[in-house]
Amino acid sequence: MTQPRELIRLESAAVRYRLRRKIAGSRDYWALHDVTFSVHEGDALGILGSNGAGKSTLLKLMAGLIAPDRGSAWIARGVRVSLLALGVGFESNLTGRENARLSALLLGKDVRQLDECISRVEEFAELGEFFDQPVYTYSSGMVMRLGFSVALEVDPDVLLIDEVLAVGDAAFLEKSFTALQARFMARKTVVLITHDLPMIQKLCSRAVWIDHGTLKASGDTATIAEAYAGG
Amino acid sequence: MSGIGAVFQDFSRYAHIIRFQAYASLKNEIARTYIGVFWWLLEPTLYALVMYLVVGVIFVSKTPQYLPFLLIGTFSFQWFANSVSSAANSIVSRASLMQQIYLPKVVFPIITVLGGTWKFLFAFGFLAVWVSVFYTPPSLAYCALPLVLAVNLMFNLAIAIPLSAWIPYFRDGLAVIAALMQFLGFASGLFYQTKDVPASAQVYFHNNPIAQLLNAYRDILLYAQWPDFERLAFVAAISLVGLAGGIWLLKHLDLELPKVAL
Repeated sequence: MTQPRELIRLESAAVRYRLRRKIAGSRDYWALHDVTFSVHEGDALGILGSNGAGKSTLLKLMAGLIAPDRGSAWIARGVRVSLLALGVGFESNLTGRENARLSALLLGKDVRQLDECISRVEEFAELGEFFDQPVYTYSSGMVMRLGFSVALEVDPDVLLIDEVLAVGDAAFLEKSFTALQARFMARKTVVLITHDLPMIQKLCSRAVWIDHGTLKASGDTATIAEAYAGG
Repeated sequence: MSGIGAVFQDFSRYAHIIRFQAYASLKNEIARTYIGVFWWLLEPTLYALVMYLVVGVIFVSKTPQYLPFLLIGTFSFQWFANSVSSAANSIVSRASLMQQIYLPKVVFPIITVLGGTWKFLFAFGFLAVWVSVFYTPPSLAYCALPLVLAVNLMFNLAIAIPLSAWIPYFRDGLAVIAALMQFLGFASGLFYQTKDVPASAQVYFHNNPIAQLLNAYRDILLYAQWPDFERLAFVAAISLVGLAGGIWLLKHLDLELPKVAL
């Protein structure tokens, strides 16, 4: 059996933030240190860790948004990695349609596919006439629905999802969860970051556990879940 | 997709993003005020009128046609000053966007400078009509106007792009830039003719790109004569150097800035 293609590899990766730079000088804060693991094609990888463990920094590293200060972060050539981000670039005075266009472009949608994409967003978001009204007239739930509908349109090679999404009312929440679940079922490469253990057990086959910026354990979900629950 | 195809696709997407974001920021700005776009005209006009009152009326400037002289200078100088000041902060102001998606950082100052350019062109159009109706009718020299505008835009970008890379590391720099812009206004012949300054200071004005750009606009609009092309070539050359340096700097800091600009 052939080994699935490696898409992302972190090797001894460490990320440093420089904390405020008053006249007294700056102080370094290492959000991640010495993290090593890989993501392969078709992986449904869960990343577990408590608040402040370094999960979001890890996500940015994997998305190619930041560079490691030590070690390396490698993304296979031509592979598109993107974050499932809601309401990217939304401007309150633009209409839902205009914001959907802007956001889809920002999220990497090809210009030639934009019109088709906006029609699907309009249908999925179920905003009715509000789709052509400025976003400042929306409720927060409507903004989230629009944001989620656009985010769902982006189809990268690796999708990174940060925390569980609470999107709109119960019916829409179920619809969005089903849409996300379909990605996992379709054997797409997905990385889910959360501190919600049952969610990872339900959706992921592999998991890594991050604690205080270091990789505490990695392996199949059942083993990691047991170790994480045990503390 | 081939490498070149992917690069072209990305470039086309960035061009759309720049255009759309510039449009969005202008729409936002218009929506925030009652008279919307007319502020773009009113703001530099009010500034010029205050200067006219002080320099033209109280101190009785010797410069002929002082009001249009001042307005032409003020409109183009404010284009430069506002573009540079806002673009310097453009990366910091989009810090949250950089935490979510990847965009080459040079896109941010370009968006801001282009937004400022639309505002300037709107106001400048009115100004050109007003000057040609009440002072100097359009001449053949108007053909050089697109060139001067292009060089001016290039110069604005050449200053704005490197500054946008600097501000995330030194936020206080915004106050320094604001003070510098005031100084540059006084030191670039905004309120007086550069030919009236002592001979010993002429070298400075000769090599001051802002003074040369203001002279070029006044030559075309007010004196119906061709601008000094040699000086424009000089401004274009230093702009190209600044642009290349700024783009290199932002490329070099591309994956560092999201960590700094938080």
